[in-house]
Amino acid sequence: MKLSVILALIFLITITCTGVLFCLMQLFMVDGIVNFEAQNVHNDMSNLNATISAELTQLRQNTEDYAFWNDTYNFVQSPNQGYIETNLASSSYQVQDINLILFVNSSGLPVYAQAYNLQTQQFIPVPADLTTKLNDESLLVQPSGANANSTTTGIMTLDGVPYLISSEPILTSNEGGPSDGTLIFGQILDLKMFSEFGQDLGLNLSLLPATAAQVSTRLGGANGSSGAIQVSRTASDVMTGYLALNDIYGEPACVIVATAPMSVYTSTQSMTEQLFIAFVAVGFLTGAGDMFLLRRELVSKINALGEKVRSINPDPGNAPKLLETRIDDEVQVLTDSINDIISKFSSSQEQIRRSEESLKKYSEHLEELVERKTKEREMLLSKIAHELRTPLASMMGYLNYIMSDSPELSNETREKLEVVQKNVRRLVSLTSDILDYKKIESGNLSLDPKPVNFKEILDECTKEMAPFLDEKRQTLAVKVSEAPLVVQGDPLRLVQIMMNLLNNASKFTPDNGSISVQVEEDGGGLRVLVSDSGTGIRQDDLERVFIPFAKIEKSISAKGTSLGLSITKGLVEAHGGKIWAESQGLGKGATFIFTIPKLGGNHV
Amino acid sequence: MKETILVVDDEPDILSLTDLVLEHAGFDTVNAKNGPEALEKLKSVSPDLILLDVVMPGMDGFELCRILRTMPEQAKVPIVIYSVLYTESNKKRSQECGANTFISKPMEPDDIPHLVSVCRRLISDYRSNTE
Repeated sequence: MKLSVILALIFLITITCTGVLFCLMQLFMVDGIVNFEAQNVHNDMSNLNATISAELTQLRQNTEDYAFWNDTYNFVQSPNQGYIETNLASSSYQVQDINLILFVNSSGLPVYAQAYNLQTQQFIPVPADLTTKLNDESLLVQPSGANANSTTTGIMTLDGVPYLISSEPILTSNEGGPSDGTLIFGQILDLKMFSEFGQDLGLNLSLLPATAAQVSTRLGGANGSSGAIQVSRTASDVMTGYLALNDIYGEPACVIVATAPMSVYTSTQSMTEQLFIAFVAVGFLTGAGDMFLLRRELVSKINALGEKVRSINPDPGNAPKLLETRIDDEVQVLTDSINDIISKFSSSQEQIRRSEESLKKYSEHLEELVERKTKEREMLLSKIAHELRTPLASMMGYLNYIMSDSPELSNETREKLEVVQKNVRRLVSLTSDILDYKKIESGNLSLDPKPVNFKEILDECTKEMAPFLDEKRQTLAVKVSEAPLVVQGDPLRLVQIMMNLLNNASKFTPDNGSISVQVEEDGGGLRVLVSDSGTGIRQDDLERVFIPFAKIEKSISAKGTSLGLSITKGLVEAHGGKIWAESQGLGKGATFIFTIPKLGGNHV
Repeated sequence: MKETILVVDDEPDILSLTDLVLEHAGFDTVNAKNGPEALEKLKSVSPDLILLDVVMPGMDGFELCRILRTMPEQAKVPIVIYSVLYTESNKKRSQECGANTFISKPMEPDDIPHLVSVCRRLISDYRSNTE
């Protein structure tokens, strides 16, 4: 499997586990803890309630101690200061932890009523409400004839302050009747009575004097009996318990509110949070590790791939190998792409190679064909030349023999034979030209170079030209420097060059025209100018005159083969020289200039 | 005693022209139309010079020359090869096969006197060497 996939999976699993674990914790653990905390607070509230009940029992006990006593019995009937001083001193309040003592006679009238402030240890007036309650409510006062079991114990709100109240019929010490009035003890419902308890449980208690509306709101509308408990979570980390206490009339008297910090929840929560943070951190670290590993792995793989790509041999004759790919490789796609390119490259290389091959074959074939054709043509040319020259040789030979060894020939016959001889020579020179041209064209022209004094060449040529020039009454002016003009060259070919140019000049120069030859030294070599006053050459034709058989307007004469200038050019170039023509235009004569370098050309 | 020249050429017209020219110049001529015939003739004749055409059917002048040079009695005889094609390659091949010189068949007015003078010179050199 690809490493990246593994890493991604690890990352995903880590994150998922973290999330699931956290959710599970929230779902089960946290809810359980919250419920547990709520239950705890509920239990605490029950205990509070029990404490109140115990207080009430204690209060009732204290009340009964006073109520079922002969002295009290007597006191109610005839109140006296002695009883008061003895039994109702401030110490009595303090010892019994009570705030209110009320003696009501059998007529329902208070005989003695006293309130006591336990904090200031002073007697204070009884709550104003008390008289009203005595008048309006008969519940406080025990009915006449009530026995020891008759009692009213509970809570009563007096002047807005909740009191624990115990009302007992006053009986004799042996609980004998008939009952004579009612003794009521009151104890302010004070949080002090729970302080120790509250501290132990870590509860923060408060007492709310509650109206019915307040209680019903607090307790969710439950118009329950005294001691109804409600627990609710009032803050994220605070559980609040409500203990609703009704008074003896069944009306809401007060609510004890206990707020408890959800310590277990909080610590669990913080632990969960820490766990979550740890998980997230682990997740991120794993992720980062993934990224790092992936990066390192990728970079190294890409580098390796780059190395492989670099080592691809672009030699066209050698198809580059495809790169190895592994299916679980991160760079597989990249490698595949590169392989794709390599295959395309290879196939195009292959195509190019095949094209080149076929082109090579074709060109070889073409070369072969050209070579064969050239050979055939050369053979043909040689054959033609040979076939032509053999009869020409006998013609020339016999003519020569006749003309030199027959003194009996008349001048007339001799002149006619000279015409024949001239034409035979033309035919011979035609075949010579063809053979020369063939040699030049096929690059087979070879020279026999030696140091040549060009003046001797000139002398030979002027001598040779003389009869032709005389015939057309043309003048030939030769201008040569005094110094010997020695070059490396083939004398026969140099003569041929000069003769061709002179013949050419003579040919295109009208009768009585003039031809001039000028030879200059040119950087150790020669520069030869052959000028005529002939028909001239058009600017466009200056280069074409050297092309064999080129049709040059008005410059093609019946004479010559048109091969002369091409052969001359070939001969000059074989000597390493250059040749070109200059002319001011038609009718203005022409000058052919050629150079023969000092050292000669490649063939020299 | 007249010097004898063996002329080998397949062209009868050239052969008779050469005979005419050489006999006019004072040589005796013996003719052969091809290589084998020339070799046959050499069994009865010892020429002072052999004149060979290049292009002949069957055996060309160069080949014949090479064969002649292997024969002891013909090893020193002046051999002239002539052709209607006066080319560098023919010249070179003539040298290679052991001919004394290569000249042109009559193509120009000067070629006939040249042929005669070459023959005279080579025979005279040959004679003076052998004597």
